[in-house]
This record gives sequence, C-alpha cells and structure tokens, in this order.
Amino acid sequence: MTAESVLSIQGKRSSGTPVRTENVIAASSVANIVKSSLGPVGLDKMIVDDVGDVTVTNDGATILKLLEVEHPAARVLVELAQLQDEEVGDGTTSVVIIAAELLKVADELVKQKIHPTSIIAGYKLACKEACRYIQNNLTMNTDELGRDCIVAAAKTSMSSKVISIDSDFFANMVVDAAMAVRTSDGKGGYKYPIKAVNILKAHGRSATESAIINGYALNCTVASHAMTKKITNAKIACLDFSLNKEKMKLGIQVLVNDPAKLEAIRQREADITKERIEKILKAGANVILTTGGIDDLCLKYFVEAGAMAVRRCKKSDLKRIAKATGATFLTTLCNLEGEESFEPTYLGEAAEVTQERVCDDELILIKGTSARTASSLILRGPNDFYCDEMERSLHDALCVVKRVLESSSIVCGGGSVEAALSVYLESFATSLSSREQLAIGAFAQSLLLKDATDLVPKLRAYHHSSQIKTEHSQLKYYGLDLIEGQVRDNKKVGVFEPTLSKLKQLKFATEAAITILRIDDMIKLEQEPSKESGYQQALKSGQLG
Amino acid sequence: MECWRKDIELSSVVVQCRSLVSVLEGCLGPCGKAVLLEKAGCVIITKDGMELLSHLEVCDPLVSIVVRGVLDHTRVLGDGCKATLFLLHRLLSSLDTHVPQNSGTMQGIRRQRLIQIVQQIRNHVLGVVQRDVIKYGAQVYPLNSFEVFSHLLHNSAEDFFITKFSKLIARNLARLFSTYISCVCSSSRELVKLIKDLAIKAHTAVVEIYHMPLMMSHVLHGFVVTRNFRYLHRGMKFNKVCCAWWSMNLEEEEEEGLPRATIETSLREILVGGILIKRNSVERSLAHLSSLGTELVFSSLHFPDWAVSLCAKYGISLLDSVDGDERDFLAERLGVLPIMEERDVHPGVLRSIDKIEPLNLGTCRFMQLSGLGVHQILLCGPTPAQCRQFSACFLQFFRYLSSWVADCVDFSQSSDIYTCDAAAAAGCRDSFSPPFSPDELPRCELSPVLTEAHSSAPTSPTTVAMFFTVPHGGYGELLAKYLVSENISVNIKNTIIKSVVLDVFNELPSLLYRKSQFSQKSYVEFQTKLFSNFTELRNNNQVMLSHMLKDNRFRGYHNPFLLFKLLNCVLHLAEYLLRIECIVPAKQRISQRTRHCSSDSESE
Repeated sequence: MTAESVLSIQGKRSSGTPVRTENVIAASSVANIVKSSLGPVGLDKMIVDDVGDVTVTNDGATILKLLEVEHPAARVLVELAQLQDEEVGDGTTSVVIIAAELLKVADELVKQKIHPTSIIAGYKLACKEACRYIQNNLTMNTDELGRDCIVAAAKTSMSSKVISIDSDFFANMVVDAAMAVRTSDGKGGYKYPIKAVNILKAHGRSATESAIINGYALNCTVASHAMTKKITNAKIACLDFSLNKEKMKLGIQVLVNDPAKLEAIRQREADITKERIEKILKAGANVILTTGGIDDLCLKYFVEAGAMAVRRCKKSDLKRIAKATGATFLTTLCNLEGEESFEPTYLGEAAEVTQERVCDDELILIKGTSARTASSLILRGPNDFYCDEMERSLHDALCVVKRVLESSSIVCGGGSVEAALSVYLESFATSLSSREQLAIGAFAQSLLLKDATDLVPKLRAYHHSSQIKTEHSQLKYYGLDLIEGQVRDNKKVGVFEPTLSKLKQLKFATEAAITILRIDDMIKLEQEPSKESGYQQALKSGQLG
Repeated sequence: MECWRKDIELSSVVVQCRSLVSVLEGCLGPCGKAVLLEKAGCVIITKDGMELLSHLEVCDPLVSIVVRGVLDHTRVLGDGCKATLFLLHRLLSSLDTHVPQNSGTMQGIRRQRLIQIVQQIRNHVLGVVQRDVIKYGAQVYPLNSFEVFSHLLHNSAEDFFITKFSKLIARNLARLFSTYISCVCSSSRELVKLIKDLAIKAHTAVVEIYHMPLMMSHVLHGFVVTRNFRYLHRGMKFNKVCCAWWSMNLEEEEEEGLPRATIETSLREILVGGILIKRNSVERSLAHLSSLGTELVFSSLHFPDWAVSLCAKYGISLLDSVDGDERDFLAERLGVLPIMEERDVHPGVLRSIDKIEPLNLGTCRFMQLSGLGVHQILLCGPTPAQCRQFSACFLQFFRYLSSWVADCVDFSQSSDIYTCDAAAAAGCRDSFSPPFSPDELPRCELSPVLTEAHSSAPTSPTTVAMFFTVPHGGYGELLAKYLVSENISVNIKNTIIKSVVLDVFNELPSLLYRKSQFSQKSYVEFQTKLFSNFTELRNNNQVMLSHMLKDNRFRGYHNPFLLFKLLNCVLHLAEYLLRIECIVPAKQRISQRTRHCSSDSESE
C-alpha cells in the first residue's frame, strides 16, 4: 500500500492508514483543547487574537469557533460543535470529546485489521440501541418532579461556567425568564422562544445585582429631551427607515430657471417626510421606534404631537418588539398601489412605555405587550469580558430550560447516563455474534472518559447491579461528584440534563465519527507558486549582486 | 500533535500584578506622592489611580483584563481604584503562598481549590464581616437632619480631595462643595436627590474656568453658558431679555456625489437670486423674529459671517455654538421650542430670561443667565489640565457619594442594624448603645429621604434612613481583621481561608502606615494595642468598639461599604482570573501543525 504518491497535477495524494491516523490525531487534538473545560472542575480558556482582542470562555463552541481550524477532519468536529450549539445550545464540549474518543477507539480497531465498514455498522447499531435505552429506561418526566428539577437542570448547565457560584440566583432568573415568554403552539403544547428574552449587559457592580425585568428593555433613550417619558396605552410603530429630510437620489438632475422653484424643491423635500410622519401619527401611533435616524426638524413634529420617538434602535430588537406587541415591522410605507399609507393595523399595542433609570442607565421599557409576553435580563459584572461570558452561560442555560420545558423529560447528568450506557452496551455486545460486537464494545468503552479513574469502576459496578437486579434499580441514577470525589445519587442532588441534549450528543458524535472514518484517501491540491517578479529573479540569479 | 498553548501560572499573574502595584503604591492615601507621567511629550501629574491606570499601556492580556475590570468598577463607585488593585494583588499572592503547588496534583485541581476558597470568602465571610464592622465600628447619623448630613459631607469631601491633591487645594474644593450644597439644598431629601442627579450629570454643577487661581473659584447663582456673544447689539438691555432658539440649518450640507437642483439661466437677476436664496430665507426669519421683539438668539449651530451680519442688521444679539449638554439643559429648563423652518417663527417660541450678563474671568468670556433657579460652581484652575483634573475629581466625588448614600439606604432597609433609639434619630452621637432588639425600639416615622430615594420599593414604616461612616486610616480594615482573627463575627475553621482573609484585610492599613513612617515593628505594636483595646471594650460589654485610641489616631468620615464593595469586586475578578487555565492564540493553524507532523513521519 503506497502511503503517499505525487499526482500528475499539482498536489499530493495520500491514502490508507496514514490518512486515517492523521485524521484521528487532528480530531483528538481538537478535543484536547476543549477537554479541560468540561464539567464543574473545568477551567476557562483565554483566546487572544493577533490584534490583542481577548475572549475568555468555557463554551466549547465559542472556543472552537475562534480557533479557525483548517484541517478538514478537525473542521468536521468544529462544525459538529456549532451544530450542537444551534440544535440544543448546550453540551458542545461533550459532543466533541465523545466524537474524538469514538474515533480514537475506532483507529485501534482498524489497526487490529477490522474493516472500517464493520466498525461503522457497529457504531450505528450501538447508537440506535443507546438512544432506545435512554428513552426507555433512564428518562424522568419533569411533570412529576416540578419546577425544582427545571431549576436544577439550569444549575447543572451553569455549574461549569463562571457564574456557577451564584447558580441558585441565576437559575431561578433563567427559569422565570423562560416562563415569561411562554407561548402556545396551537396544538395544546407550549413553545418557549428564548430569543424573546432580551439580554442587556452593563459593567460595574457585582454579578448578583443583575435583574430580571418584565417587559422588553431597549438600550436607547428618547430622541429629544422635550418628549414625554411615559405613555400609557401605547400604540407602537416599528419602522426600518430614517425619518430624515428626503434627499434627491443619485443621478437625478433637475434644471430650473427660477430661484423660487429651487426653494420649492427644497420645501418639497422637507414636506415628504412631514407627510409620512403625519400619516403615522394620524393612524394613532404614539410611540415610534425606528432603526434609522430622525433629524431635528422631524423630531419637532413628534414633540408637538406628544409622541415618543426613539431612533437608532437595533434591528433585531425591533423585530422582537414587533412580534411581542403585534406590530408590523415596516421597511417602507408604500403599499401595493405604489402610494404611501399607514394603516392602524400596523401598530402594536402595549400597556405602558416608559423611560426609566435602571442601574445607572436610562432604558426604555415596554411593559404589558399585547401579543406575547417578553422579559429582559440586565446583567452586571466587573468588566466586559465577564459580562460576555455571563451572557454565553445564560444563553446555554436558557436553551437547556427551553428543551426541558418543551420535551418535559430529563436524564441525570454527572456521567450517570454514560456509565449506564456503557454497561448496557457491553452486555448488549456479547449478545451479538458478528464482528459488530467489537465496535459496539468500543463504543461503550469510548463513553467512559471522565478523568477520575478510581471512581469510574465503582460507578460501573453500581450501574451493573441496577441493570441486573430489579431491587437495585434506583442505582441507575448514580453519577460522579467530582468536587468531593465520590459517587452519589444525582437524582437526589439534582444534577439533570435534558434528554434531548444527550440524544443529540450521541447521534451527532456518532455521525461525525462515521464521516471521518469513511475517509481513506485524501488529495490535497497545492496552490501554484506565485511567479516572482523580474527584480527578484534578477536578484537571485546574481545579476544585481 | 499538540495545539500551541501557554499555561498561566498563578505566580506569574502575581508578578504581573506586583509590577502594577509598585507603580501605584507611591500615591496611596493622604501622604501619597503624585506621579509624573510623560506620554508623547504630554505631561500628566496626578495622584489619581484611575487617571494613571487609564494612561498606562498594558500589553499582557491577563493584566489588561484586570486593569479594565478595575477601571470599570471604579467608574461606578467613584473611588478605590488603587485599593482594588492592592487588594487583588494581596489576595492572589496570599493564595499562591498558602496553597502550595504539588507536583502530583493537576493544575486544574489546585485551581479548583483556590476558586473554592475565593467563593467561600465571598459567600460566607464578606457579608457577615460587613454587617459586624458596621455594627461595632460605624458611627451612625440620621439622614433626615440636614445640618449633620451636610457637615458630614463637608468633612468627607475634604478627606476625599486630600487623597487626590494637596491639603490646601483639598480644603478649597471641599469649601466650594459645601457652599454649593448649602446654596442648592435646604433639606436632606433634596440633598439626596441632588447627589443622585449629579452622579450622572456633573456638568450641570461645575464650570471650568482656565488661567485663574483656584482661590478665585466660587459658587454662582445662575447658569453659565461657556460661550461669548458672537455679536452683541449695542442697544441690548440685560434684564428681561426676550430670546429664541435657532436650529435652522445655515450651512449647505455638501455631500459627495449627491447631485442637486441646478439653475440654468443667463439672466443676471435670477442668478443672483439663486445664490442668495438661503440668505433670503434666513433674513426673512430674522426680520420676523425682530418684529416680534426678540433681542437675543441662541443656537447650537455655528453662524457663518454672513448670518452674523444679518443679525447685526436686525439688532439681534447672537450667542452661537452652544455646547450640547448646555443646550439640553437650557431646552429643558426654558421649555423653548427650536426654530427649524420659517413657519416656526411665531410668538410661542419666544422665552424671556430674567437677566443675562457677560462673565469675564481669567481668559474666559462666558455668559451668565439668571432666573433659572440653579447654582453652579465656577472652578478655576491655573492651567486647563489642572482645571480638568479638579472637575473630574468632583465627578468622582459625586459618584462616590451617590453609591455611599444608596448603600446606606439599602443597608438600613435590609439588615438588622436599623434598631436604633430615639437619641439616634434626634441628633448626632458617637456611640451605638446596646441592645439590638427590635422590641425596644420606638416606632420612627419613615424619613422623607427614603420615600424619595426608593419610591418604588415597599419600605417598612419602622426603618429610619441612617448614614453610616467609619473613620479613615484603615480603621475599617483593622476592625474587620480583629473580628475575623478573634472569631467574633464568623468562625472560620479552615486555617488557610482564615490566613488569606487576614492577609487581605491587613494590606491597606500596613501600606498606609508604612507611608506615615511607621516601622514594621511599631505597626505591629500599634495593632496589638488597638486589638487589646477592642477586647477590653468588648469585655465591658460595650458594643461600639471605639476608634478613640489614646493618641487619637483615627478620625474623619469614610464610606464603610466601599471596602466591601471593592472586596466583592476583587473576589469576582480573582475567581475569574483563576478560572483561566491557558492562553490560546486564535487563528492558529492546526493544519500547519499537521503538515509539520506528517513531514516528520516522512523523514522517518
């Protein structure tokens, strides 16, 4: 078997074992980067880029995103983390580590002359079997356990993050925020669009002074001091265009031969915007939020009408506000006939819009929104980095809460599921008579990778007896307590993770591992060397010397 | 194949912090010396930690995080920049020495242990010690007595400014401040509101005047517009001036690539008319204004010369290019509507100002408006840089006061300290007599300050807003140290945690005493004397631990909450730093490494 051969075109081809080994090494090097940030004893990474910008984080997906991995196999793992982040929001570190471990074990098997396809088949079977086992035996229904277990799940997600010490405080905050944005999906169930939870950051003060606010908080102030700062029964218009004096567009040239007409043009320019504002105000709007600017001339009309106008809002904010209040997010006033009009139906409603001072900052609060409820979290922290990391951690926790609430099923965390699965799969592997059993055994093996070497056998013993003897079935909830260094009942302590997160982790990791395993040939095309300039050639050939 | 990474050793962080501390150490406290900082030919002389830190350029990413964190925090609290750094350095170095690095244990496990210590201090020690320091050591004054409150503020202002400037300057600044508050406020409620307002917008209180000695500073009744007349009409009277606010655009905005209407003509009149079109419309508005009796036009825009001459033509005095903050203030106070277009000129836009007069001080020519019901501090400084330092210091002081008052109000609501007797409510006193049982309390009316400050929060009617102070000179720290070492407020079983806490509390006093020529030995002697004094007092069942030692070392008024706020921030930051395990450069090329490895295997 030739390991490397030079292609006839510019490039390099390598195939067989070296490729696979190289891929596996690349994958495990990626996993090694994030490995030490897993779990409650994990530490943070500080990522410094060439400009000197600093990110400090514990989130696997964020770390990998910032690293800019180039190796194709390693890229698969990075994308895997991103996928998990989008689908579940939590467990990004775990999924990378599981996938890398699966690959490592598979590589061993290949070296023992087992064909990759058998390994792939075995992995597929094992993954299916594991998911089935989780769903049948290990899940718990949240309805039986109540709110406490949701808070506990949020706490579990935070335990590895910087806010772990105040997890009680933040977990309750997160659950409250998620509950506040509950909407019905029309089929008797509920949805929790966590994007409706607005997270604002303000540095200074300590983390425990963070606050949850009912209603939507907007980090802007009213455009003019003369405006009223409180409006009840607000009718809100959300606009995505500037209310500036209209200017003639590029490429238009108007030739006039009377200065009075010039002035008329100028007057008309001002009037176009004025008419627009009048249309909006006539429809009954008294709060106008826009992503663009409002110039001083146009502000005057709003002041005179006693309305509140806010300029330079963020587009994403306005979209959410439009959703929450039932307003239409307008990019233009033109209707189908090509005329400008503003219907009262475009307006959203809220009980109250006020400008309030919350923690040293003036914010606009929209309370009592009519279509949906909204909530906002204001985070405080000693510096920007801290706030950023808090935001990431809270986002993960919000995702977890959302998954738990939507699926209303959880499993125990702290390695309990992994241990149970590994014990189960090992016994399952012996029941098969094909070559796949080696692969399934390997799958089982790879699930056990937590550091505490002396604890894992103990944990496995517990799980083994729980699966064999019915009277010991409670033992299946046992997991690791890494801080005290012992095995404990994680159900009692309240270490929970959403089932969905675990299932997706297994599925994604298996798929990624399979993708990489299937590769046995790599062709790398090299860039043509750029032609050197005449000067450099001359220099080289010594003509200048 | 390993990804490149640099593990962060705790000891190296301590060394980095040490270098920062050594820069700032010299200027701590009232005896501190100013630092001269030269940056690109520009010289800054300051004792202010915030100014120094923000001018230092820190390259190390970890230390720059620390610096930014400290600056952010100080910006909210107003004071304690240097103290935060010192405390952080002491905490980290103490952790480093007390928790030895075993070669056997992993870095992560040692870090986790350190983080646990930090968390335990934050959760179990800090709150209790704060409560007890205030219980045993704080002087308590009622907030609702204006005389006492303003006297306290005067003293604390002097103490605050002494840490930034020389004694003479500090006395002057403090005098200015108390004159200002006595002019503006007549009750505590107003004072609390004023302090809260000033914390966000100090510029309404302070006007900088350059090239004048500080001695010339005074408090002025009225509002100063930091602009001179652009044009002053000779016949203008200065009382009951009728004025208008001009916001109509005067300059043509020329934008790149935007074509505009063009006049195509050969007739001379039309051409001239076209050129003068803007001028004519401005002239019409001014003529209209003048016919309405306007004598003065304010504007935040710049008036070009032709517009000034138009004003002259209609006998309207002009004050243009008014600063944005001043414009907002005036617009709010006068309720004046700006003139945006020709149609806006009508009698409704005119306002009358009681009195307006030019103010000539030093090299500054400003305008003073009276009748707006405001006072301002005219802050003189020999050089612009110094003047700016003074006013920045005022801003910091307002922030410091605002957080102090807010903390006092919070504390008297939330904790069990609000037990007080009638004497406390009636007037100032120095000692806090026992017992602390709520039953024996007379029911006090809710002070007006509280309702003002916390109108949203429901308050129980028995609480009195109290003002808590501790003396300067490390009294709070030493008391805290005593309380911890004698296991009075909290019994820390873990010896490591205890020694770390004691180390941290010891940091500031020891620095201060080193400053005032105490040798290490005499400092320890002093400390033992103080502690034995405390014990004696406690044995006599006195709850208040006096700060009056024989030689009367402690005096002044200081925010007792500040130390704990700073410590809280320090512990947050320390935990944050401890969690960082390694530095990973972003955008490192893993593929290059791979190629490198494969080439290795090739060579094999």
